Amino acid sequence: MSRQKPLLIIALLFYIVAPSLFEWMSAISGSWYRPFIIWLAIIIIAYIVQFRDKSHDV
Amino acid sequence: MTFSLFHVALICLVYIGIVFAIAYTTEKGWIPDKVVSHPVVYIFSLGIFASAWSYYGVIDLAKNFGYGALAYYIGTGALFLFAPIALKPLIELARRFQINSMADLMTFRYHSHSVGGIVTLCMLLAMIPLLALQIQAVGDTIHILTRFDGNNSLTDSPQFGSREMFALVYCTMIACFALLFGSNREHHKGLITAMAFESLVKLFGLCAIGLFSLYYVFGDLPSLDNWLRENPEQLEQLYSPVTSYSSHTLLLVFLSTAVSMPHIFHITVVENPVKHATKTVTWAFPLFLFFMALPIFPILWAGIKLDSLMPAQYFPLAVPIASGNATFTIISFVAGLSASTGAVIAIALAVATMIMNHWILPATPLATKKEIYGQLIRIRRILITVVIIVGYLFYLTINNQFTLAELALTAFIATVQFLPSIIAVVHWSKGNRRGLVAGLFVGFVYWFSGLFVPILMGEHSLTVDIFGLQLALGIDHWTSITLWSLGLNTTVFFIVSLLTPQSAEERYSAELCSEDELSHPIRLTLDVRSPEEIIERLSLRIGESTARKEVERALAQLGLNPNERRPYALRRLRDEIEANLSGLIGIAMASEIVDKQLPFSVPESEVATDITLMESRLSDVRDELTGLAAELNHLRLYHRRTLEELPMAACSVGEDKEIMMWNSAMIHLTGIEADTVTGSRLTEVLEPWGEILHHVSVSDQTHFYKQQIELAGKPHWISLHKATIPYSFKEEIESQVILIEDVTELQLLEKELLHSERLASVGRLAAGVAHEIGNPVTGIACLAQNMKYETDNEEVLETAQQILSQTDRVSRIVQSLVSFSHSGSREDETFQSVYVWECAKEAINLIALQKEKGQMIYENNLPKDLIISGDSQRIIQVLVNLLSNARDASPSGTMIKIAGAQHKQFVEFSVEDEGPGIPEEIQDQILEPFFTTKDPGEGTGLGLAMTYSIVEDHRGTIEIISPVNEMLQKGTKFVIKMPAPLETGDS
Repeated sequence: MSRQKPLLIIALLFYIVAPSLFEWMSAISGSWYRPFIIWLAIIIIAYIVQFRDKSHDV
Repeated sequence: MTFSLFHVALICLVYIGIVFAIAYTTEKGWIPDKVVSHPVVYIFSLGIFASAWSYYGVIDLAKNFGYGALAYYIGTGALFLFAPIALKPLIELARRFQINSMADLMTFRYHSHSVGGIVTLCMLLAMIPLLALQIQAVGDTIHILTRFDGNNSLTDSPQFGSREMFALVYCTMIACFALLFGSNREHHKGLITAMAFESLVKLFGLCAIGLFSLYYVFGDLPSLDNWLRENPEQLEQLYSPVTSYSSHTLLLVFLSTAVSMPHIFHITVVENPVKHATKTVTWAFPLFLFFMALPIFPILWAGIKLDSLMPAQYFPLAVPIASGNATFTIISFVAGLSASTGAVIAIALAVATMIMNHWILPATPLATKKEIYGQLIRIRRILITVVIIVGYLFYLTINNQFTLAELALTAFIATVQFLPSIIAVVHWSKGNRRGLVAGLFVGFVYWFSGLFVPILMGEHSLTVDIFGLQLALGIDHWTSITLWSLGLNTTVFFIVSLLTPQSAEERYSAELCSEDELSHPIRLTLDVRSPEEIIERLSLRIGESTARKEVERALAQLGLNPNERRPYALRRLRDEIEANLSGLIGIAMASEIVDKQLPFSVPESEVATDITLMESRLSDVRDELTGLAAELNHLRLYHRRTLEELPMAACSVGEDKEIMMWNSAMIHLTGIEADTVTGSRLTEVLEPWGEILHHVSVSDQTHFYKQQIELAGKPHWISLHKATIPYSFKEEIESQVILIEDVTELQLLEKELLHSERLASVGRLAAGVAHEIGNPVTGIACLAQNMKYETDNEEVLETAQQILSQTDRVSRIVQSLVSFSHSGSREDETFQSVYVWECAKEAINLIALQKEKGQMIYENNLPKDLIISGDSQRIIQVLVNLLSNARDASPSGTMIKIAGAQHKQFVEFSVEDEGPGIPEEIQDQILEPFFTTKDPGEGTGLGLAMTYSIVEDHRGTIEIISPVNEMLQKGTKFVIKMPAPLETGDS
């Protein structure tokens, strides 16, 4: 059994906030690079999760 | 702006030269290992995933699908982001069973060699368009740099022109590289480093062109925003296609490519050189993709703004050309070249390996007389060349009529067909090979006729009427073809798998692959006795030198001894050899060879679980266990430690008499380390343990008491107890636990007790004898007394006196026998002051009476005033015993000396002879009762024991010094020390 809980929580959170994020991202008045901001945020979260859980090797 | 052909050729040559140099220096070990094994190198090597298509083609995709183009990166990024769920099971499988390719994985999971062959065919078909794409990108870009002036079209060139020539030269150079660095099986470190370098170059190139577009073409970020506000149709174009279902299809396609593409599978799953890199991959690879995706839109808009005549897919090159910047043009060209090169090499290697392992080797046996490695490298080199040639021929056939995006989609949609079977590898153990073959057949036939054939025909769209059904085929209808082919594939796979049975072997493999593996590792019996025998048997198939090399390699990897005989170790050796051979010739061939040459015999009962293997596996994943599993593991460890630290020697043996556990008390008792004995047969354990344990194990009795064995030359006694361990779920007996109790001390105590018993009975006998003898002696004494009164004859009087004295002595001896038999020491009250000199004199007189024994010279050197407190008769007894022993031991005529001295606290006197001395090993024993070195009938063994007992009663000690004369090694001296009498004592 692997420690997959943090990832499942991220997936759930993503599912919950996805509609608003998607709306924010695709607002015509917004900047074209908004999807990239979300992308970067996800990478940072993944980095923090990985950093905190050192023993979690894949 | 155009470049001369010479310049372009020079750039290509320099670039490929650098790549060669990097690979070569890595292989030679000139680049520090710290750099080569760094996770960053691995992350960048994963970047071969971004081929020429993601350098050029993706711009075209962005133009048509807006943000939908990001699906390519988001799909792959998500897969790595969720690597612990999505990729971990596959990586683990690959590691455990040395799976080297998608075809290996399918062969292993679906337990069929034909599946491997079919998968290889599908992969080859799927990869041809992708190879052609890379070649086309290189050919086109060289053409653009040297010939394109903005007016001539890229697609119209019916005959073999310069572009095709460039492509051919390029293919030849790449083939050379792949032949040199990719054909041997060692972890191709050089190749990996070169791939990483190529990824770095293309990332740098794309980012550079992105920044160029932003700051040179637009000025800055606000200017770009302004331009976008002025051209709102560009922003709309970003979002509108996202809402259509084609973007979702794109996401689906790209999500699956990261695992199903053979070259990406190879780098992700197989070439995983840094163990901990996979942890970093979760965020680092999405970050890499982030930087690859970020410049796409600025480049696209810059190309649009500059009104480039080139197709959108070549905007990364068109933007600097249109801006007239030669430096950025070259940077962009090299980055694109690098993207293509990496992909072509990786694809060619992966496909060539699959073809060799699943087509060539099963069909043609290797020549065992020659070195197998050379043959394999030769075959692989030929195949790499063939694969690149096939890709080039396809490129010639399609004749630039399709964009890079179209070719990429064709390839990707083909690999999507593997998605159901890959998911089933880990997550659906009921999926079987019939389902796989049927599903793959339906999906691939649809793809082949819907996309591949139209491409060959040069058609973008065509409609076919089948049984009145209008089927839209061609790349223009890729979304419907994707969904239909994958849908049909999945449905057929599912239905056929449910309807058809799974063979036992396939079920076993499926369970091995499933994530929550519940199967027990079965302990099978291997009828091989030594590594040498393994070499002999393997020689028949892979030649002796190869077999020897492989066995030695496996032995070294496992850290085993070449003389290893333990069945457990030999089983591990067999598995390691199989895994290594899989890396060399593919899993299908390796398992076929190893199964035939080193077959396992199936155990009689199916429940012989391999505890040792289970344990080692559990300790490998110990840190990863959570929840119930972790608790169970703790419980296991607790029980294990309980057994390990049990203060009684215990070992457990399997049904086949193989040792499973050997606890610390056992190590202590036997002096045999657990590591050297676990996994070996009972009979192979060092003597005397092996024999006795085996005897206990096979016997019907469960208890064996006081078995005598010899350890280090001394006798030991052990008791053995045996219990059988029934298998938890069935009533079958699987193994036994044997307890060993060291009862040597108990045995010695018992012996001593027996001894005392005997002594006590001697005492009782003596008491009886004394009683019986007492009366006649009293009678004799009375008669002698009477005789004394009735005569005046001097001689008779003398005789009567002697009789009286002797009967008195007999009475005292009898009395002392009685007292010896009584437990407890005598009361001190009877003690008087005794002159030792007088006692010694009497003792010498008594000894001298025994005329039949040898005559000695007795020398009484005791001080006459030496006094002790004691019983004079018993002191005489002590001296008589010591003197008679000294006389018996010494040659006739030698001297026996009695000496003594008064000390402050004690009195010391000694008897010294000139005999041969007492051997050191029996010096401890001579004071024990019934211990004698004299011939039977000569001595009772009571003399010295009685002496000791008397001296102890006087609270004294006896010391034995032997030999007295160290030079001549002879002489014995008994030194008796007794407490000095108190001043107030009688005198």
